[in-house]
Amino acid sequence: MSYRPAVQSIIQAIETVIVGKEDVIAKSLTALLAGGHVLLEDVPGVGKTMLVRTFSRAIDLEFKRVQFTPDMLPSDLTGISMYNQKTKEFEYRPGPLMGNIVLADEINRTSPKTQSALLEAMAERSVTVDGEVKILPSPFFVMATQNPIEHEGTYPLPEAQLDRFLLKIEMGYPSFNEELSLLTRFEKTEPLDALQSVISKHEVEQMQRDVRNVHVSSAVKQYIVRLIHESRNDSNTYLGGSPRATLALMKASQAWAYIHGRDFVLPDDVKALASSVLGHRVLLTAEARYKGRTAEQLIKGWLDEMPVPMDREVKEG
Amino acid sequence: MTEWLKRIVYTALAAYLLSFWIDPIVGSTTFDVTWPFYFLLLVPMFASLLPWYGLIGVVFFNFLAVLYVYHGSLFDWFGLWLEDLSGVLSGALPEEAIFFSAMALIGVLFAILVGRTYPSYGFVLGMIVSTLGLMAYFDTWTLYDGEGQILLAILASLFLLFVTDLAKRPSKSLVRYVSIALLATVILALASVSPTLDGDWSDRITTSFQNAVNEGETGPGRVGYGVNDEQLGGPFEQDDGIVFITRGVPARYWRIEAKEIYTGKGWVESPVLDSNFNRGQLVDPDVDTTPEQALLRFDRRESFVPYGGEYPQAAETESGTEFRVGDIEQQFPNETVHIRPSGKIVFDNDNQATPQTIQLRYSVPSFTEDQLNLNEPVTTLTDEEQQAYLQLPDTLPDRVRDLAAEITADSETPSEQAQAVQAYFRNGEFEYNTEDVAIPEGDTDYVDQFLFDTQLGYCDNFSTSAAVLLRANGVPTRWVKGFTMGDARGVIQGETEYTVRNRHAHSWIEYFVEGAGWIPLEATISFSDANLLQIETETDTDSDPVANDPQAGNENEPTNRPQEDIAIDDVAPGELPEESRRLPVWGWVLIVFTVGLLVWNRKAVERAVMVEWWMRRPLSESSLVAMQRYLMKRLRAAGFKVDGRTPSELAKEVDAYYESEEMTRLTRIFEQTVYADQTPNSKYKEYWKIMIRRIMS
Repeated sequence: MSYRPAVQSIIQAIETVIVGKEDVIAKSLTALLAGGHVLLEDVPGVGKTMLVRTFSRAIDLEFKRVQFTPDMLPSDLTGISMYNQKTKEFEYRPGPLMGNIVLADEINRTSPKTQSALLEAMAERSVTVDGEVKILPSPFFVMATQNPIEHEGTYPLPEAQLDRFLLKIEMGYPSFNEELSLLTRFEKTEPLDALQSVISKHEVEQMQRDVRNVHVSSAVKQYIVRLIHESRNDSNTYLGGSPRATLALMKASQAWAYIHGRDFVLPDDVKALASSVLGHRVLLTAEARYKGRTAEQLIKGWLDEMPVPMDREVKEG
Repeated sequence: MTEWLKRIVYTALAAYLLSFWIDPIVGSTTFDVTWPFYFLLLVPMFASLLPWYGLIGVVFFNFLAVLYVYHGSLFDWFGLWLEDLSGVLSGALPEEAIFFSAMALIGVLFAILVGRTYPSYGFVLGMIVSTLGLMAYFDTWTLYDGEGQILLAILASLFLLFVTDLAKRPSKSLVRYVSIALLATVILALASVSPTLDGDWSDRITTSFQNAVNEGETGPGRVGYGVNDEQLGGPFEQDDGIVFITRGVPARYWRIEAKEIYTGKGWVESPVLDSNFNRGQLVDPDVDTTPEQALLRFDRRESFVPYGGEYPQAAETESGTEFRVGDIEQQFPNETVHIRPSGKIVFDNDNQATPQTIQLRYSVPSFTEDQLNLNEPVTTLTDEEQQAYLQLPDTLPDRVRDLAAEITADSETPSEQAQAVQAYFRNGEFEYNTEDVAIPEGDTDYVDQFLFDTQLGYCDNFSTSAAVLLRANGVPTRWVKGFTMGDARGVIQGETEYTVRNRHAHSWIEYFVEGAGWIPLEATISFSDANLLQIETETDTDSDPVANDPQAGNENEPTNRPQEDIAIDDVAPGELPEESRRLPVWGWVLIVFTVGLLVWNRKAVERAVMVEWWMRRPLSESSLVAMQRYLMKRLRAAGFKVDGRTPSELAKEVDAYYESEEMTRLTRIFEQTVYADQTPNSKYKEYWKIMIRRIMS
């Protein structure tokens, strides 16, 4: 696949540190440009944190990191007003959310209360401290990581909160050759230290505006809506995609088209992102889970059966 | 249609096609019934709808039942079968037992085929090709005549193909129903326009010209041979129905019987007539005759035996029985035959039905000029006979006798008188007509009305009048019925064949010349004596009448027309014979073959049509989408999975398969048009054409 030159340079920069994972990088970039947030899910040690750090370095964005623990409180995220004895005033000490790229590590290790504070910030792009609304910096991009939910000591994220992540991306293990070159790359140096930013914050904001102008034809809109409807009508799901999911799929597709150098969305874009956008939003019935079905399998099944709309004429169904 | 209904119709149509095999195949054997084979071949076909044990059971009991009803016993059949088998093993041809069993096996084979392969284009096409081929083959090389059947077979084939198509690819679209309806309509229209088929489909009522009138019908009668001639006159309709086909003889009139008593309205048989001239021979022993052998094949069993010269000396039926008619001795075990006073040969079975195939041997007389011009007192006929042959009704108006005297004033011998009468009809005042012919009413004499009043009529008018005029002059005369030579069918296996149809029914007269015998005379205008009367020229003493005949036929070609076919009157000499202007069996086979070829190559045809159609249309977004849809349809038909694939995914796969690039290029234009709302690039058509050609090649 070919990328827009600016995007190409970002990806190349990131790839000096991260071995392989082009797809993960592209999807993360998509979320950033679409103004969404990313949930990275995988077992510990596959490079989730490294990816986020590399990302922030390459794009010249302010990087903040929060390590979630079970005893963490919402104020640990948002920051807190402290009494300054010198000035005899309460002074706001910003929390780790006040950054451009926030790595929310192991988000499912903390209590739902703290989780919701983060998710509110992600949606509103502001936090409220002591009754005062603090606007978060722009761009604001959360990359949360979570260990697969069946791991010990985890609090699963509520559905409503999962819905707020634009994409859920799975890292996966590197291949044999990738892992080999990983060893070589980290043998003597620390490539992240040498990484120079290739794009400025303003350029990112400009790109975000450009993404909104990517054309979505009526045929593609039908394709998106039909897919979401499919997710709601399938007997294997007890919760299908919400209208927010519909919107998310379109926005993500726009960004995906944009980074691939197009100013219009193809059904291919929708198809490429459907699993990442819907995978964490579609909830399976107990029966389906028992049968060993996964959301990704179902989504692939819908895509395989659905005819791709070829003209503007709207067909219900 | 439900699956089961489709299957039943499919099987029934296949069985129907198979039933066309029975007539030609059985017709070339010594079996004289066909019904057992319908059971043997068709019952298993229907039984194929049952589970296998049902099929086996039905086939087995069907075989035994048919065998029992046909043969009367099951046990001695086994012996026959073994005997036949040992015969076959020692090189003899199979007899009935083996043939019977073979047909049963064929039935089972087809039943298994139709049951196992359902629904299969291969089976259906094989079935169609073999059925039509078999019919065409037997039609050409054997006595079987498939002309009336081939159209039904073709129709059944088309419907069978249609049902196969339905079963193979169920579709809610009405297109197929509409197209089959159109096809059927066209075929039926063609069929009803075609004269042959029209004739074959009509109910062949074998009535004489006047029969319909006798029954008080207002409409015209139908032409053909009939028994009752008591009331002549009235119009009639043409009938192209085949009566029989002759083989091995030149163009020749076919005599059936003669009648002697003229009633003033028509003819009846005389009860007492048994002289030699009436029974064994038509001519004097001094007249040269040439033996001739003819094979007659009847379309259905008739109650008469037509013959070409004198009465047949021997005839062979399809069951191999020989009999002699000439001397009335009946030397045959199965069939009995007798000759009626009228000269009509009748088989003495229930329906007086002639076997469908008979081999006749008779002598064709050949008169010399001297014999014809003999003028001696009649001594060979008894007084009683003379009375009958000179009989005239008392009611005959005198002006008829006066006219007879007037016409023959310059003639001395009976032959001269006959020729004078013949010439009189050709004087220009008489007209040949089958439609406006009057029926004499009240006391009106049939001959008088024709000679003096209407002067308009067909063979009955001319022949009856000629007979009456000759009798009035004292020439013993009788009225003869039969058929003309028919339509030339062509040379088949080196022998000429003629098709004799109902409309070839004809009448003429025979007058008696002492020392020569009964001499035929063609009285009807526009007909010639050439195929009726053979005259030896004095220079050619050794003349072989058979060899002579074609010559005679050629000389008279212009006037040698089929009897009542008025439409043919305008045909110039040398034009194609009528038979070849009809669509013969091979013509139909050719049409089916062509249609089959088109269907076989329907991809190429469709491709050409679609390319032509879309290339002519301007490219717009909607036409581009339609073209893309068509392309998708073709790709789907070519086995690509189209649903669930985005255009570019499909393009990649298609290009990889066809080792092309055009699909990707075309898809890019499509994407820009449909998903980016840009105006379509005209190169799309070019790529589209290339891809359609690739996919549909």
